[in-house]
Amino acid sequence: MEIDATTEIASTQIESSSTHKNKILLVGFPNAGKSTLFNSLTGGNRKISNYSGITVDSAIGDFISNDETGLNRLELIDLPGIYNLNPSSQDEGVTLSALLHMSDGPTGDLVLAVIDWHRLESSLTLVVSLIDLLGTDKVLAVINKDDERELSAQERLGLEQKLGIKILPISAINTDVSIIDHFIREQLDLRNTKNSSRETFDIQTKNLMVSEDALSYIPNLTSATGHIQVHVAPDKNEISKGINEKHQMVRKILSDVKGPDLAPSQLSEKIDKVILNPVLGMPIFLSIFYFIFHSIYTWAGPVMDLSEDLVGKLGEVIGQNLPQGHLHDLVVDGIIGGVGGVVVFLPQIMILFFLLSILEQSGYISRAAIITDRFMSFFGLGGKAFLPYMSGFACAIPGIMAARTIPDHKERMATILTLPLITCSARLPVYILLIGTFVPDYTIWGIFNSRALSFFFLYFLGSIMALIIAKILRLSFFKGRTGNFIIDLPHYQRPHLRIALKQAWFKGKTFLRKAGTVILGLSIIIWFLSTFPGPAQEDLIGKTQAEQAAITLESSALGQMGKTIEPVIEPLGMNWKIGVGLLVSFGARELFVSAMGTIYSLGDVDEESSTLRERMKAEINPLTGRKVFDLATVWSILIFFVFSLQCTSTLAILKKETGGWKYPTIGFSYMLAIAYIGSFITYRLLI
Amino acid sequence: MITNTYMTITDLKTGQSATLINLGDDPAIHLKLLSLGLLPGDRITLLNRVPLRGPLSIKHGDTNYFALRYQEASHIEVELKA
Repeated sequence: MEIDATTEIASTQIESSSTHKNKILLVGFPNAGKSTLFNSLTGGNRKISNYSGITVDSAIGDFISNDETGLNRLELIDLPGIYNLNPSSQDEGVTLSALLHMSDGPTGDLVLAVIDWHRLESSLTLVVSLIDLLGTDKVLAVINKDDERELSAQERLGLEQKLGIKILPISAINTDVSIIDHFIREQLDLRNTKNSSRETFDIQTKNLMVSEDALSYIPNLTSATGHIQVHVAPDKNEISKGINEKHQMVRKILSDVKGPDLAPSQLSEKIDKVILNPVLGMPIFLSIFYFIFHSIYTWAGPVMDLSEDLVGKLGEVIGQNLPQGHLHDLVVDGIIGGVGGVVVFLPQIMILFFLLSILEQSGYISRAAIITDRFMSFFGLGGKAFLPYMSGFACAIPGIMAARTIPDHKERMATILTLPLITCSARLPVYILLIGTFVPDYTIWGIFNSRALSFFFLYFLGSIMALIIAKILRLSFFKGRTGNFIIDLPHYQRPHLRIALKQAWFKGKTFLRKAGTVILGLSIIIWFLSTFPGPAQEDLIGKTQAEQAAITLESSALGQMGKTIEPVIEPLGMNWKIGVGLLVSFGARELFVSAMGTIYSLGDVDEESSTLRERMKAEINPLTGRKVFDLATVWSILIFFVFSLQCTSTLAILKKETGGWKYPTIGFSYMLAIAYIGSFITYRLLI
Repeated sequence: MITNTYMTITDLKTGQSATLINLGDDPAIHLKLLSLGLLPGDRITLLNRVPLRGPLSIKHGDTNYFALRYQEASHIEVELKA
């Protein structure tokens, strides 16, 4: 059984809780609004999504109100969504494990059950199961209300009385956080005071029946606190029978306490008639994604030109004020050339995440999973692999973690080994630099932009290759049937711009932090390696300034490395300078842009071309007299970046998720092979 | 006289309603459907079909929507009261 490190952290922290530091565990259906609640209570900024399994890692956060004087320290734990107490994936197992590790005693931890108004009956059934397992002392509930209808005070009181727990109606997006915070603290204090005044307190041992399969998904089962005994059900119908009975019970309660519903909104149904239409479904899906790439390109253009100009100006101003010498070169060529070259892509990153957030909030993602399921299952993956793939467009790391929601081990392995082929946002700077500079801008068929279409093609190419490799894996090493695919479809919602903007802002900050730390550090190293060891002085005598710069770069450590691999990449149409960019990009893809920035600043003597793009355009191969970056070379580099796994963080997460270096090595090697062959073919076709 | 016709969800026409009779033999699917609140005796309506035997989207009661694969739906028995 695989035990991942994060689960261990979550469970040990729950165990170590003392009476003064209570933990609140958020439990509920997937997409019930747990993550939104977590964000408001802790001030953390987590993704809010409408598709099962976005909470891929249990997250722990301190209540914001902990800072106020006189209040106890409380911790909130956001757990993966569950439908029942019989886990059917690794992800659901984490939640059950956390419940089994709750602290015992009269003043122990609490579960805050999140009830979804749209799925009132089934989420209440889960609450009833939780109360059954933990007792009314350990469960509180919030009910996510709807725009159209909310629980009346009378209905709430009726429910509280029947269930024996307190319920607070909230709106995860609009309700004042202090009301929820106060509710939790008040109920916790009341319970603690009541229990502390008792003379004796018996901890009852409860039994939990799970299926045999479920047992293998529960991590750290043996270290559980022990007041819940987990048994394997003797008969497979036993568990179904239990859930059925609880459902009937909840139906009875609801019919007793709840007034009639308003006429249901037909809007979701009407939208689905179009979105899931047999003829229109696929074209709509493709249009939405084309629109995203189109926006990234066209909306960001003006902003990017502006930030490029600013970076260029900054370099000039600082350059004029620093005395000539190594320090001048380090700052202007290394830092501004390297970091500045990457930072200009901030608008694109923010637009990508803004649009993905809008899409996630709307409820369209589940529909996209349905539309693509037939297609995905042809390649041996289920609709459940869609979300991890989708996250992969942002970054492979959350995507690989999201794959934990895939119950079948072999399907999960095929998904995570192919996920790095999905075009992530780190490839974006490279694509934009090369496409934006070298692909001519014109309109195709009256509506498509040549550059936007080039983008779309690269994204498509990565995705289709991921599926093809997945199919090969599913026919060989990871043979087997795809798991079941039953998903609930959330009602369509008007996306909140505020949430999307926050998401974009947050991702933008993360990107800038990376640029300010990792990229900055590595840019400085790249500058040193491309400046030292310098050439012998006599080699520089009688040469022009441009020739001197070129000789310096060639004799540097990085230049030597580039020269060493030149014979290998020469068939791909690349020279040693591009080779230097490729070498450093294996640390992180954006470094290709930084390295180009540094290299082309070093060689730059032309005062007119202040931006990297202009410098790259101007470079001439001294042997052939042709431009170094012709279309064949540019596409060859692009294809290399589509397929190659140039990301140390991805390799690290692959190692963590698969428990060794075997699969990261396999992933890295096969992707490098495809990248090389792909680039070779592209170059030969276009030259 | 009332005649009962036994069939599976896949036999329904788009827009047609039926009563759930049997959730099928696969324990995992059975449990998932139950947890979503689909109990034998409930009314469902087939809303959309994705072409080439793709997933089907279904309405349960008045406000719940969900989707499942053709293959899975073909094991779920429903009854059409004529």
